[in-house]
Amino acid sequence: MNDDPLRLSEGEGELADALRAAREVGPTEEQRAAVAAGLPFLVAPPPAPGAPPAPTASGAAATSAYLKVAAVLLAAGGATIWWRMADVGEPALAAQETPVETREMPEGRSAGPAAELERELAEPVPDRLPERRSTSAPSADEPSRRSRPRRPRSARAAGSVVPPGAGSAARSNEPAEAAEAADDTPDGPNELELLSSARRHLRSAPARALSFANQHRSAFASGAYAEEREVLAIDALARLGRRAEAERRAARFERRWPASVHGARISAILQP
Amino acid sequence: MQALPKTDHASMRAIYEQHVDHVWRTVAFLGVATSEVPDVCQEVFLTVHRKLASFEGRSSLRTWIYGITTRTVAAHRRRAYTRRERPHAEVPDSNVAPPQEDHLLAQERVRRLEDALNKLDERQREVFVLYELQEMKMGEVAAALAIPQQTAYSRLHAARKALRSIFRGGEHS
Repeated sequence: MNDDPLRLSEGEGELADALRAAREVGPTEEQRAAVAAGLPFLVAPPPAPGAPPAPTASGAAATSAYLKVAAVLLAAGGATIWWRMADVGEPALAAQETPVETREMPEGRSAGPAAELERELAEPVPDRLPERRSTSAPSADEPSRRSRPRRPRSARAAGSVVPPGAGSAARSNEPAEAAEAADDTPDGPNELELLSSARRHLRSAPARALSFANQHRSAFASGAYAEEREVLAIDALARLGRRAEAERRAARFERRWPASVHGARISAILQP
Repeated sequence: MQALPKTDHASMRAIYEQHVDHVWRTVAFLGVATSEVPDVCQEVFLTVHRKLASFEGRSSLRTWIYGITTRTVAAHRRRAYTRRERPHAEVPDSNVAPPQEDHLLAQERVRRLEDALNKLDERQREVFVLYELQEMKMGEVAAALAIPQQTAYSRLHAARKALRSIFRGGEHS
């Protein structure tokens, strides 16, 4: 049953035209790369047990090239929105012909989380990003660092948990989980908050960005995103003209993470 | 309750690839300044990564991600307000695409829609963007925003009324 109102884009008029045009808005490939460059789980997968010790030459080259592109884009700043008017072949954007919800939410299906993820993951994914096959030297403790448990969330969130087995019961449960998930903004500055603040100020106020990065270093010296923090700090120092400090910090980075995927970006930052 | 598949690198990458365009569009039309859209998208996916293990499948993964997206944008807006910056200060720049006539027309339409959306109440705007642009069902919209479905309908109705009035009245120049 679906008694949702007809969408405006299915009608006529300027508002309908505008909505149809708006559905074509999306990031350029470069903008996608800029987003991906800030996501450690995309560029720095944890090592698989028994993984080869070093990347292949072509893999390393691809990673390096990708990061250089991302670094240049991030340095350039001023992201733009791209109207992908001609790119009608992409399924995710062909929403007018194939509404997304009918593909993802068939009536009467089981709504188990595993089924949901499997369905999501069964979709073909274009191979845009390079894989990293090896990790930096002190990587032995990295998986545990990256997956270490967070401190418990608020009692409010804990109290809203529905008993096991109630998951597929009714739509009325959906707001419960959404409310539970609403607790994704931390009550104090955590790793992500500090890094996000540093990133946000990098272009407009590099001194503040450096301050946030250093706060992160004080609170989370070996945190899950220590490498990303150092890259931001080096970038901020370079923007402030404190080149000697940037180079010293880059040298320390190189010693600590000699095989980091961020090495190419640091090189790009420090290019004369 | 079924156990989640292990959320490894491949899983997150697949989720990112499948949702990044939609998240980008949602963030952009919820009024985040163009230059800050990449940062906000990163925050969304970092949160998804951090919380994926706690996703229990009581809503669709897509609904869950849009819930995170709208809350991340709301938090960003609060920070922007605190910094006394206008979140809508920048107008999208389309200099990446070739200046074809159709493209310019579409660009103008999008710009006009953004101007109109900027005049909406933020809560109405969230419902409108998720329903009209992202084509979610109203039940999914209500779930993502953690509001009763009737409230979602009311906000959609109010948003439509306001936007129709703006477009009819030609407030945009």
